[in-house]
Amino acid sequence: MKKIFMWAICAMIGINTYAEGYQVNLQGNRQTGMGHTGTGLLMGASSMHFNPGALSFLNDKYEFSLGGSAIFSKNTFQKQAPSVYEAYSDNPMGTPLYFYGAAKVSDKLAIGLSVTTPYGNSLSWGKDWDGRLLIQDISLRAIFIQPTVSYQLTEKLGIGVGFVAANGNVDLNKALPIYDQNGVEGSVNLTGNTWAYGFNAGISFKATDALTVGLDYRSKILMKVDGGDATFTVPAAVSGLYPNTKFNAELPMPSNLTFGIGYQLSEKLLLAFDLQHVGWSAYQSLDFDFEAESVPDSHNQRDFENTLIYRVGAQYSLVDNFQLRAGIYYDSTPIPEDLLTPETPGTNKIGISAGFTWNVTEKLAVDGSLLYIHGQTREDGYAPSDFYGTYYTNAVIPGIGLTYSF
Amino acid sequence: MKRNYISIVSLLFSTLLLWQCEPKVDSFTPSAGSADFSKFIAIGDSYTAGYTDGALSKYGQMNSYSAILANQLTTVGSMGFTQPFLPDGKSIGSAGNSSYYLVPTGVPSSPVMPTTDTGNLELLTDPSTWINGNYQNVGVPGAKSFHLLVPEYGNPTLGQGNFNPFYARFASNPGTSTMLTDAMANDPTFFCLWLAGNDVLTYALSGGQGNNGGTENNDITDASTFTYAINSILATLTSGGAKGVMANIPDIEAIPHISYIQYNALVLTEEQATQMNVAYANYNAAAEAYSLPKMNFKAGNNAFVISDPDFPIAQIRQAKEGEKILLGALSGIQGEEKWGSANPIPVNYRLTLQAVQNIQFAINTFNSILEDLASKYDVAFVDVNSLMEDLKDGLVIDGNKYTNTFVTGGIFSLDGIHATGRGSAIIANSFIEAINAQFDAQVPEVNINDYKTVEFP
Repeated sequence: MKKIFMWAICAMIGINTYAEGYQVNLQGNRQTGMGHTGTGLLMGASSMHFNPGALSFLNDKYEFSLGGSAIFSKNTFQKQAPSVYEAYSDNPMGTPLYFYGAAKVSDKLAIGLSVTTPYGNSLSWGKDWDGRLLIQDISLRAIFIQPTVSYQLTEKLGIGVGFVAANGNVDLNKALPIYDQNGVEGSVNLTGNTWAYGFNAGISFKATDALTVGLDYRSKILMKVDGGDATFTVPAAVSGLYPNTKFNAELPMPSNLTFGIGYQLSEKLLLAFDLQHVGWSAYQSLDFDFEAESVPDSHNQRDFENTLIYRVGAQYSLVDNFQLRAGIYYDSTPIPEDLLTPETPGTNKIGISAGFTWNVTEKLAVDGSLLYIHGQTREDGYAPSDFYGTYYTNAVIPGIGLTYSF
Repeated sequence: MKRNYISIVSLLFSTLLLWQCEPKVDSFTPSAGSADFSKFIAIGDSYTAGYTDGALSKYGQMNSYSAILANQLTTVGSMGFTQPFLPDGKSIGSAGNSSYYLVPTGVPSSPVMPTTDTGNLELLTDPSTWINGNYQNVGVPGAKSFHLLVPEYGNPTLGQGNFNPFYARFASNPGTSTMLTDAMANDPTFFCLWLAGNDVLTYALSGGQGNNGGTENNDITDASTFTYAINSILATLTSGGAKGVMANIPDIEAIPHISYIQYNALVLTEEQATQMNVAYANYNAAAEAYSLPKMNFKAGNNAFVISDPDFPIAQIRQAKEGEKILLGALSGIQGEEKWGSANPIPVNYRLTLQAVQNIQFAINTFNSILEDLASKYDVAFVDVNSLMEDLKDGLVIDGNKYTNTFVTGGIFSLDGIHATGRGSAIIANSFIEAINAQFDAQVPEVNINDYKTVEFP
């Protein structure tokens, strides 16, 4: 029976699965356990990310929620036939974190602060792999700090808005096809850090006692690195042509428009559905503009496309102080054909999650989640660099957090 | 609480099941198709031998397209590939030079230049260093089509200049064996034949100072001799049932040795241009009298002054668009000789329009002969000529753009004629592509990034 079950899931995934660019949707263990739904739910402090409008429905005077996940991801690459070459990434563990702190100022007004890491990428193919002229390793991380205010217009309708200050950091290495007289290949390291700003606004509507709907919009945030550091390792004779220099570049964190529904089917069973539109078309190209004139600027076509993510989740109250959760989502890739790079080897993906909350005391709860992301195998490549093969991706992501309210 | 634990454990267990679903695509499986690669031989010229950076060396021999191809064929049944290796660390070029290497110039805009030392000449002149025997790589620098058939080509008793020591040093029986008999002594099941152009290249490299149709070193081989030679070679190679692959002649005008210096790369200041016009005033007066083209210099780019024995006035004139200046003229242009400005570029360092035409015509003729014979003998055919055409505009492979630019283009070594290791890998992959198509084989291609381009100080 288990075999049949496994086969069925494998078969289903085999038909349709891929990535989500460099977005990381792990902003709350409770939501993650339910397929990362939450825009239509009233999830207390963590609503600040999913729907600031829902924050005004906070039950307690104060609520703090803190947690994180550990991303164990694997990428494999098989070069386009005829070739026997295969490569396996050795990705450092990704550690997205979240913190939410909220307070109810009055019956109608709530304020809060959230710190989240909704974008990032941590991928290492190694110094010597065959695609090293495209990328060796990349670490991309963004921290979003969001002070939020939320207000109940009526007993049924809450609105909220948060101002987002985002800090972005990038660090990547790639090889250069220049050799010294010991046969050592050249390379370049690019690092940059920048601040950028945006907002997160939402509406939450309790249509009936059982039904909640929500709409949330998180604006695009354009990370502009001004004066990043480019460090070249090249043979001495040509170091004059490749001096260490500054670079300018920009990378958009795309907008998200999410519609969500929460439905309390029975006293014990809560259902959730989210439809998330991600504005990936903001990512047209990745251009490095180097200050030193002898270093040629680098233009890299991306032309990402907008995507939809479908999310379904459920929460079941097993006993009074213990809830179980499960969910599934489908996330289509924003990366068009012939523009698939090894730095973001995206593919349509299915995420399957489970989670729990154990209310240890009246005030303290432990939230856990486990997410498995399965990427569809994708045979494609990046035409401007003529680098093709079959990519596979998957990830297991356990998460743990605490929620304290009083 | 016990039930909770069971739930959690079963959740974890389900995830483990999913983990096993990790997608796997069938791995690529090499196969020989209808060919038998067990005994592979390569026969050809300097490209096959592994000549690079202006000399033959063990490094070049290990990184030739033929060696790379042979290595890939071991995945489909080849039992190995024996080569007449030079000793480690030694090198010898056809001018007695060592391998070229780059040295810093201290000039920021052009920070390196190729240079060379005296090579290990004894490897050619001292028969005690020779390693005569049977080898599967029968590539000989300088070999033309008909050389493969004549025993004199490796006969040292004929005296210096009358035989090729690059062959004599490893011929199984110098003076008796031929390159072809040596190749056949291996009982090949699969062969690779590439005569990449000496039948026309030597003419080009001499500045067109040979006959258009002949068998002397600087001549363009006449078409009937070429046809006879290639036909005989293919008839012999396939006589034991062997299958094979062969390639055509690249567009040699695209090699840096011929394409690097533009005909109008004489850059002058206003002042220098005036001086030049004054210096050639008498020439221009004569030209006007005979209604012939005058010399004309201005600030910026100017056509070089070249030697032309057919030109009535002083046997010199300015080069025309389409004419070629050979890389060997570079030091004369930049140095005390003042070639191209105060003094003409000598005849053996430039190609007139007529010579360029002769070369193009010969390549077209030879390539159509090669294609016809490949088809006659069912031999896989590699269109290296097209590959070179693509290279002119830049060829992007696995993350880098390759061009025919001298030194930095990635494909050509420091002699501007022969390939780098990476260039050889690109050529080897085009041979593999042709083999796979012709014999329904699945020979894996090589990762070109595993091979090096030129090395900088």
